Amino acid sequence: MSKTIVPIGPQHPLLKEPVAFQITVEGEQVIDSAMRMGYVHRGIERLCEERTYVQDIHLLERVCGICSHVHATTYCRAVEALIGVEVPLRGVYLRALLCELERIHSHLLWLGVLARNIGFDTIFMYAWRDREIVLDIMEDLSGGRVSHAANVIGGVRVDLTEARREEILGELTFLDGQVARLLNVVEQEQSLRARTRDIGLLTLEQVRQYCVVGPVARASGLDVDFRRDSLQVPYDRLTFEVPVHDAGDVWARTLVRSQETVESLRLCRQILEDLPEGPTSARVPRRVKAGQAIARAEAPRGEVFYYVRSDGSDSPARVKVRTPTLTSLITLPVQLQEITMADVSVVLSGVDLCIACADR
Amino acid sequence: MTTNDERIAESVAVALREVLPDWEPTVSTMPMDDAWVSVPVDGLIPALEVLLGRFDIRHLSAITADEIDGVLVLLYHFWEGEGITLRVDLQEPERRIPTLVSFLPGADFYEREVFEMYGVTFDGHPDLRPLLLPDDWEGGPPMRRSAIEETGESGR
Amino acid sequence: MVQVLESLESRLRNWTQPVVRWARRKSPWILHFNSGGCNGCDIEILDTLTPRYDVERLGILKEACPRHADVLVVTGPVTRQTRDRLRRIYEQMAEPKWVVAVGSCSCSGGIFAGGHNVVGGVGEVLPVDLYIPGCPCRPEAIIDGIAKLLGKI
Repeated sequence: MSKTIVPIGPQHPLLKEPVAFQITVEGEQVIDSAMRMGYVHRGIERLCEERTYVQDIHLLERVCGICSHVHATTYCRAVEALIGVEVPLRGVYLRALLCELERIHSHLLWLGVLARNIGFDTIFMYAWRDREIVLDIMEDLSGGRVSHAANVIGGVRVDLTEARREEILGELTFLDGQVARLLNVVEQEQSLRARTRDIGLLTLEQVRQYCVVGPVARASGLDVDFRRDSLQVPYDRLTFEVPVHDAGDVWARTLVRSQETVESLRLCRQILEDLPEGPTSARVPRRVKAGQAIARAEAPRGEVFYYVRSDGSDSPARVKVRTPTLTSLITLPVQLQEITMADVSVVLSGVDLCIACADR
Repeated sequence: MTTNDERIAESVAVALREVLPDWEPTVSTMPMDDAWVSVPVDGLIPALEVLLGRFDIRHLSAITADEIDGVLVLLYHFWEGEGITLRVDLQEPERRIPTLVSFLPGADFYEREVFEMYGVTFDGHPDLRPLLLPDDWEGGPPMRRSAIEETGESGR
Repeated sequence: MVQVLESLESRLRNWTQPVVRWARRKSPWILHFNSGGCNGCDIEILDTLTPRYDVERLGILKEACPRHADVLVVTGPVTRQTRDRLRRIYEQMAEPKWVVAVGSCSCSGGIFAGGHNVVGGVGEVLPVDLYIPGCPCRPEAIIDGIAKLLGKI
């Protein structure tokens, strides 16, 4: 049989963002694949060097629209470490609250996109409808549904009244029920399982060799979660489980993300119930001392890494961002082996692509 | 979390003195649980073998290229409960260093990005071509200070 | 004879024009293309299709192929790599077609203006009929913008 190259992207109904794949098929069988990225490369690291520390918070929030808060938080933590300032506990808790809400909204978004890409539009509509509740809470807290600008260097600029805290707890209870019903369908529905089982396989050894992070790594048996492993405040005083499965296929990733959503809801509840009193941000000096700092965090897609170097001036001398999607993209040639053309959409959806993050 | 005395970097530096007898590694701590250990260009692979073999540290978070006081520096960031970074000062004008891809396939994209943004050649890399920049990119590596000074703000 | 046929043809066109215009206004099918954006505006556009905002009641369907769409909705600043693709997508669409720039980045390059790989807003590449600013743009703003565009059809 002769070989054909099927191009997917940069414009394709499957893809929300421009990226180009060339899938070589023989009949229906995929035998090779190539990828071209960089369509969303905006040169953010270089732009960071030209803007001030405060302007960079807003720039780095827009590396990605889905995980915007965790990018800004990690950057702020690196800068605060350079300055040597400690964020008050209430500010740390509020940052974590937004991070967990963001994880919930990201996983619900992903679930909807996966379902849509395999033709299960009903789950897409239900998941995104429930996601609106999370966006409402985030908008009430910060003023923005998708991009919050909640961080300042030294803490957060947002706060909760006692009444609003009680209301959000009530909304979370409602959301618990909605998510439980949704995940019940996801776990029981045979067609979803049939399409995602044994597709996109990655072994534990492959995950370690490719330095994969996040739900993709946890679905192949690698028990890593930066929140727990680094004893990061406030996670060192909260109770949560880290779901790990070892099948290594898209179904395992679905289960990991579903269970993470439930755990994040638990975390949000604990954060609100234990919210300490006090200020939400600390005063910081006008200049950042020269030096280097590294900050990591657990974004919805895995470990996000920031390196910030200061030379004592108004602008950072270097900001290096490594986003988790890059570690998943490198495994795609492995995942796209020995599957049929129809399963390509499942594999591409299973890794939770965020090309904007990867390209920066 | 470990205290300053027990950082992995110290133990790695001790192990490095054994495998690289002519090199005196410097250890420097960075805020929030990280430390870097200096390594020469030809000591990168032995240092990696120490990390993988003796300490079972296999997770490479990122490879950062930075120009510190005029020197092009490569930072290999590893993580195992705490951060440990290998710092390599590159020689000009060669800007060459061996690739890690044969040991850690996960280093592939990081090396390609450093290649296109800073003009560093990774000897032995199976497919060293640009990752993010367009095919018709004119002009040198966009992140180098010399490129920025020559072309002005963002080189447009 | 020819003159009779010609006058008949032009009268037929006059009667059917309002119907055609009404049909176009009641079912603008959109094609969405992200030309280099952060995804913020993209997920807000997808949000308009979901139960809370539900733009399908206005006749808007999100199409997969440029040849099926009437309105090209672009998000994100235009990067060097997407510039030619954007032009090619626009050329593949059949007349009449409209271009909507959603979000500050597609209006002017937004927060990324000046980046070494960024060309600018969509206006640098295509003739834009409607600009909807915002970072990211709210779904209500997107719906309001599209409704204003429909008024011009």
